[in-house]
Order: sequence, then structure tokens, then C-alpha cells
Amino acid sequence: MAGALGGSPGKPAVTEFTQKADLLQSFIQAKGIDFDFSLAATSREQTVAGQFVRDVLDAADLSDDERMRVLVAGLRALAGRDDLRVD
Amino acid sequence: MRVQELTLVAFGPFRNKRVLVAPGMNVVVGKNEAGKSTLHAALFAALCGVRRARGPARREDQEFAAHHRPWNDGKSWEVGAIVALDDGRRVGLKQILDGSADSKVTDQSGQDLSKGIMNEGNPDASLWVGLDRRSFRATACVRQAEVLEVLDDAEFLQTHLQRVAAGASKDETAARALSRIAEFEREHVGPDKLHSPKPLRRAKDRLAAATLARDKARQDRVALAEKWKAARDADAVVESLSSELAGLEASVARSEADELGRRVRRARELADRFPGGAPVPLPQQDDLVTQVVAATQSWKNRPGSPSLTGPDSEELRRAIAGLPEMPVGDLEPDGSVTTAEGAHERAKLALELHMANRPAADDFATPLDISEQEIRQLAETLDQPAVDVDARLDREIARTENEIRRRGERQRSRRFALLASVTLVLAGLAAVPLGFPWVGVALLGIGIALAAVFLTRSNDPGAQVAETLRTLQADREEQRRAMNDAAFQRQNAKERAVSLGLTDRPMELRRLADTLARRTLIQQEQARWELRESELRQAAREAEADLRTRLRDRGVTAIGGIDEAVESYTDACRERRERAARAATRPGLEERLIYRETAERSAVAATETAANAERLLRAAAKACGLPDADGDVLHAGLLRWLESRKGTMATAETAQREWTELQTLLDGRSLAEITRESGARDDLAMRLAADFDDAPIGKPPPDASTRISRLRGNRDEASRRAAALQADAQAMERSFPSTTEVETEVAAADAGLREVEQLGRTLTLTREFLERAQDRVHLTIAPLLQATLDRWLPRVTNGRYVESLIDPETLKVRLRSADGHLRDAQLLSHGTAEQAYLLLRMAMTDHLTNGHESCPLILDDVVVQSDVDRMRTLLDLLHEISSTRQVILFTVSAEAAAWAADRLHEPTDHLERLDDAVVSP
Repeated sequence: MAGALGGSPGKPAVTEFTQKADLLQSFIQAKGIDFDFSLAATSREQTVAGQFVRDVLDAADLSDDERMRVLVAGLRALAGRDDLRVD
Repeated sequence: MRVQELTLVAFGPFRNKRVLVAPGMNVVVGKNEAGKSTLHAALFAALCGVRRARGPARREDQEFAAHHRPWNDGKSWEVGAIVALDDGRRVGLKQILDGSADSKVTDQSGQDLSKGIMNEGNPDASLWVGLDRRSFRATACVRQAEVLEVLDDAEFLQTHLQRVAAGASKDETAARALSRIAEFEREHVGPDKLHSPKPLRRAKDRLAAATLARDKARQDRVALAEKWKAARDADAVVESLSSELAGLEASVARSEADELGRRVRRARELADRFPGGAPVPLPQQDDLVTQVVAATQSWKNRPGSPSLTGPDSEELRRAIAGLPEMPVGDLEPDGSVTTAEGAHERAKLALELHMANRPAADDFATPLDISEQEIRQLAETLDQPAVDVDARLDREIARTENEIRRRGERQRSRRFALLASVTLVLAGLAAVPLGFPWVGVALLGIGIALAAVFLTRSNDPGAQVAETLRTLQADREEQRRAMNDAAFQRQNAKERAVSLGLTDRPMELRRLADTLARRTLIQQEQARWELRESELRQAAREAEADLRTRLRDRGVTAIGGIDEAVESYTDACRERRERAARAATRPGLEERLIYRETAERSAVAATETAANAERLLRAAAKACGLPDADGDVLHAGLLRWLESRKGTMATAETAQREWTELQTLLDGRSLAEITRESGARDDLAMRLAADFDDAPIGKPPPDASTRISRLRGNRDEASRRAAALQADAQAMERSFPSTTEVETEVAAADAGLREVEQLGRTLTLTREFLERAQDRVHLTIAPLLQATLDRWLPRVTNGRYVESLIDPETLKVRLRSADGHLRDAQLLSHGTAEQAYLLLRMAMTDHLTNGHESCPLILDDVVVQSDVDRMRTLLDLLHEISSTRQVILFTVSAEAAAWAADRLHEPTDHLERLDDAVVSP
């Protein structure tokens, strides 16, 4: 896990995840979506949420819009929220 | 990271309270209501701050604020801390919890470090340890309530591990999150099955219905367009018919106006000729004029005197009466009779010719019982010369027999020479060993040479000579047999000729054979002639019979000779032909008779008419006072009289005719009236023609009236049809939904479906990512937790449990006792469960903060359920752990306080005793 967080060949480093997370966080805020999570902080966690955020940020076959929707829905579900629709 | 100092500027019941914290293990002891939990919360708040993100505050944040806002002054809620980072830096944290000002994080140099650890609008120092304020609270910040929950809820341990592993919320596990997503997907997407009430199926059904409605609307629009086109076509037909009708009506109006104008002009012209009114009436017809006209016409038309020539009717009647009746029978010989007669004549002629060519009779007196051929053979045999054996053959046989005898003598000489040569050879062979080699060799050579000569010569063909002799002897025997046979045959031939009374001389026999040959030819010719005669006679009979049959068919019975019968039939035909020619003149004579009788009657009538015309002519001339004269003179006089009366009559007739024409033109009205009507008609025609601009108005057709009537009917019918089509199209258009509505509904349904499908895809992707993340994290966490438990478990349980098993899939915890049995965690005793829980929390903290700043453990009365021994063991464990991470334990336990007093050493460790009832209001 530490290796993954520190970055390795084929895996983005924490800073890269952080940059992606910040970018996507800005995107989510710009769209006015109710989202009270820190993607950057969560992406650093060695939890399911952290792994989920990293996997989604790292998924190459997702568009930014899909990435945003999946992250919002997944983190809301992990937070016990029922509003999983992302408009 | 280790806390060095906690300052409660305004937090709960505390104001400006400062608590020093040692870097190792800290035990804060106080009774209930002494403020342990408040300090615990303040420590958490000083490190992590509170969330300041947009939107409503979360429930746990609200509860936190309700419990820990300053009791006396809720407007200033502030807590601070000083922490030492692992690299030696000291950092001051100033958390303004009520949001009245920005929180600050600065190091000893005054550098603001807030930006690096901002989380949800507030600095969060737990980020330095790899957590955030949520996961820090769920991991490193252990409260008494959670320990109690482990004891109360058998599955809490597993659930808590799952929650911590999940990380996003302290209350939620990844499994529950997945279940929530699945439930949400079922409710807000649903299966794509028929009759499903869920959104996906409904959206598809809505889109299908909208598309169907739109397609139908489009089809309806096409049908409507066709209806409008039909209505426009019908209008065009009406317009075309109206135009044609107007043109025709204008043409008729113009024609009628012109006609009336012409009538007015003519009426005005005629009226000018009768200024005084009607003309004087014509005088009454003069009877004399009538008589004169009739007389002159009769005279002019009288018939001439007919001239009749040729026989009169009486003569013709007599000639007709003298004609014969038309004969019955053939007028010309019938073709079948003439054909049969020809055949009969040809048969008779052929027979006569044949009879004239009879062949000569046979003049051979006596018949012979021998054929010509046999006679010729006898002559041949008798003519054969007598032959003898060839003398040369006898000589050759004698020579061959001599040769055979000579060869026998030479054979005997050769045997003797051979014996001599053998003797010489043997003597030669004997002489060599006796000492006479040269003699021996000479004898040997001579002997061999002699033997060779005689052996060579002994190859004599004596057998061939013997064979030649046998052949020659056989040939001579054959010649003798042939000679004997020829002599025998001549003898037999001679005896045969004699027995037949013939000569045995071959020449005479040959002459006799020639005679016999001629006779045979004559006989054959005679027979052929007789056969032909028979055939010709039969043909003549058959031809005659056929001729008789043909004659009988024509009504002639030939009793006598056939030739007479034919002549009689031919004569009868000729006689009937002559009578028929005469009878054939009857119709012509009868027609001439009719014409003659008519001509004779016409001649009588013409004579009477001419006489009557002359009588009328003379009476009229007399009435006119003309002198009596020849008929033609009187006729000319009467014509002159009529001519003089004709001028007066013509003038009166013209005036009368024009007056009648004027009355007809006026038709009972005055000239002024028809003049006004003409003007009105002209105006109407000009008005109707005005619709056609400057186009010339043609002449109306002859059937204009009929065509106008028909056109009006057609135009009215077309107008009704056009109106009906237009009304139909308008009704259809009113009944249709607007194109915009159906298109909007399709677009909305499509957008709705895409939204649901997108939601389904989002949820599916979310589940997939979450499941994968859960599996990976659990797979990572399970062995780490298990290793931590295995390291500490025997020690804290005093050897009762020696090993742990954690399911990577569910994080379910089981412990193996010293006797080898596995026990589920929920079946453990309270003390063991508490110990296991704390160990797992520490293990989880280890794991989650690995690679970051060391994370302090903040424990709020977590050993409450342990007995003294276990508590001490657990405290020993915590003390040991404090060498690597700071431990801050809040407890009410006096035993724990005693342990701390005994085991903790300043300045690494610290024991803090709280005053009683600090938190009491």
C-alpha cells in the first residue's frame, strides 16, 4: 500500500492523484453539485474509499463526466447517503 | 506527530484551559463529569478542526457543536494545540470552530501551513498521518461509547472493521454502500423487462410511444398534405371551369350583342323605307295568270310522240308460245363416259397391235431327252485327246536310281579310309614313347588329315536324292491315273451318245446343241407373247365393262355393241343441247314482251297528255285574247304576256317581304326599345370581356348554350367537392397534435431515457469500482490485522488465545484458543472482545497511517470492561506502543491511575489528574 501511495511504474504517484483529484474537485464544485468530500484527502487514504477514488481517477476509459458521476455516487453511497443521482 | 500542548480557549465548559501532553503515554484520570470526554473532543477538534464546506452541516457535526460549543459564550468557539512533527518541527494549530475567523496552522518560524492540510474548508492535521478528520475519528480516536458498542453488539467488531476499511463514513461499510447502490439502481433504473414499472422500462416505453406517435403524426401530416393538395387541385378545377364558363359566356354575350346590334341597324334601315306605315297589300292572284302559267307549263312539259320499232307485243307472244321446253339429261357427253371410252379404245388398239406381232412357230420335229448343256459336255468329252505318261519323267527316275547306287559304293570306301586314319593316329601315338617322336608326329598328322578329309566328304546328301526319287515316282503314278480316267470318260460319253441315237462326233454334237438352244429361245418368246395377249384381252374386257357402267350411270343401257351405245349417247346429248339452246331464249322474249307492252301503254298516255296541253294552251290564249295559231306560237305569246305582269308583282312582293322582316325584327316592340336593349347587351358583353384583359373574345361555338349549361353543372359540382375536401382537411388538421408537441415529447422521452441509461451506467460503474476497491483493500488489510493480533493476542489474553483468522472477504474475526478451537469474535468474553477491539483499532491505525507522520492514539476509557490484570496488561501494551506513537488515554479507572503512577515516567510519559466536576454547569 505504501508503494502504491508512493508511486511505482504504471501507477500514478500521490501527487498525480492529488492533481487529478483537485481538478475533478474543481469540476464538481463548478457544476454546483452537493459534494462534501475531499477527493485529494480521500485519495491518500488506504481505505476502500481511498482505493475507490484512486481507481476511478486512474481509469483511462472513463470520460471526465463519467468519472465525476461515479466518484460522487460512490462516495455518497459510502457516506450512507441515498441521493446517488448526479445531475 | 505528537501533541505537546492542548489549549481550550473556549470549548464546552472550559475557557483558556491549557493541558500539557507528554510525547509517550499520557493517562488523564478523572471522575465522571470531570471533563474527560470534553478534553477528548477538544483534542480531536484541535487536531482536525471541523468541516466548513458549503451546504447544510452533517448530523455528526451538528451533534458535535451542540455538545461542545462554549457553554457561556457560544460565539467564540476556539481550541488550539501545539504538535511536534516527526522531523522535529513544532506546529501551532489554532482552530476557530464557529467559523468567525480563519483557523491557522503555523510552525515556529511563523510560516502558515494551513494550505497544505486544508480539508473541507478547515485545516486538518490528521492529513499528516494519512487520515482525515472522519477516518481519524474512526481510527485513532477511540471513544468509550465505541468500546461499549463492541460489547453490546456481537457483530460490531466486524462491522467496525468494515466501516474503517470503507473510510468514507464512520457509520457505513462498503458492503452497505454497495447494497445501497444496488437498491438505488433497482428503484431508479430497474430491469429492462416488459411490464416493469421501473424508470428504465418506463423511459423506453415512453420513447417508443412518443416515437410511434411522432411517426403517426408524420404519416398523418403526409395524408393531410395529400388532402390539401386534393383540395387545391379541386379549386384549380373550379377555377379552370369558371374561367372556361366566363369565356364562353362573354363570347355568347358578345355574339348576342352583335346580333342584336345588327338587327337594330337592319330594323332602322327597314323602318326608314316605311315612313307611312305598312305597304299596300299585294293584289289578289290573278286567275288568268294562273291559267296562263299552268297552260305554258303544260305545253312546255308535254311529252313527245313516241316511236315504237320491232315486233309488237302480239308477235312476241306467238314466238314465246312456239319455243320448246328445256330438255332433261346430259347436254354434253359426261366426262366419266368420255374417259372410259378413251380407255376402252386404247385397250382395243393395244390388243390389235399385239395380235399383229405373233412370233414364228417351233419347227423342231422330234423332241430329245437330253439338254443342250449335256450334249455340249458329251462333245467336249469325246473331243479330249488320248495322252500317255511323260517320257522325261521315266528318264529322270532312272538317273536318280543310278545316283543312289553310286553313293552306296562311296560309303563303303569312306569307312575303310577312316579305319586307316585311326590306325595311323594310334601308330603315331605309339611311336613317340618308343623313341621315334618325329615318326610318331608324322603318322599322327597324316592320320588326322586323312580322317579330316573323309569326315568332310562324308557329309553327302544321300537322303535328298532318295526323296527326289520318291517324288518323281509319285508324279509318274499320278499321270498314269489321269490317263486312265480320261479314257474311261470318253468311253462313257460315246456309249451315252449312242444310247440317245446321236452321233459320237463332237462337231455334230455341237451343232445339235446350237439347234436346241435356238428352239428354247423360240419357245420362251411364244410363251411371253401369249401371256401378254391374255393380259391385253383382260384389259379390253375390263375397259368395256367400265364403259358400260358409266353409260348406265348416265341413263343409257347398252344392249348391243358397246360402240353403238356410245354413239347413241353422244347423239342424244347433241340433240338435247340444240333444244336447250332454243328453250333458253324464252326469258329474253318474255322480258321484251313486258317492255313492249309498257311502251305501247306509254305511247297512248303521251298522246293524250299532249292533246290536253294543247287544249289548255289554246284556252289560255283565247282568254288573253291572242289570235289562234300554232301551239308554239301561242306558247311564245303567252310567255310574253306573263313577263309584262312580272315587274309589277315583284315590286309589291319586295315591299311586303321587307315589312314582314321589320315586324319580325321588332318582335312586337318599338325600335327605341330594341335599341335600348342592344345598348344594355353591349354593356354586358363588354363587362364580361373585361375579365379577360385584352384577349380577343372568339366566336361562340354552335353548341354554346349546351356547353354553358354543362359547364355550370360541372363547376357547381367541382365547387361542392372542393369545399368538402377543404372542410375535411381543416377538420383533420384540427384533430392532429402539433408537430412541435410530438417532436418535443420524443426529444423529452429520448433525453429521459438517456438520463436513466446514464444513471444505470454510472451506478454499474460505481458498483464495479467499489467492489474492486473493497476486495483489494480487504485483501490488504486482513493479513495485516491478523499479524498484529497474532503478535499481541497471546500476551493480552494471558495465552488463552494464540492465533487469529480474519476473512479477507468479510473481515470476520475468529480467534484460536490455546486448545486449538476457533471462536467467532462475537462469542468472546467482554474483556477479550474489548482487547481484540483495541488491538484491531491499533492495527488499523498502523495500517492506515503507515508511511505518514506517526499517528497519536486518543483513547477515551477503553479499558472499562477489563479486569485488573487484563487492564494492566493492556496498559502495558499501550505503554509499549507509546514508544512509537503517542498514546493519550482518558480514564476514570483508579486502577489505571495507580498503574500510571507506578509505571509512567516524566517527561516521556505523563499522568494528568482532572479536578472533580469540572464540567458541571
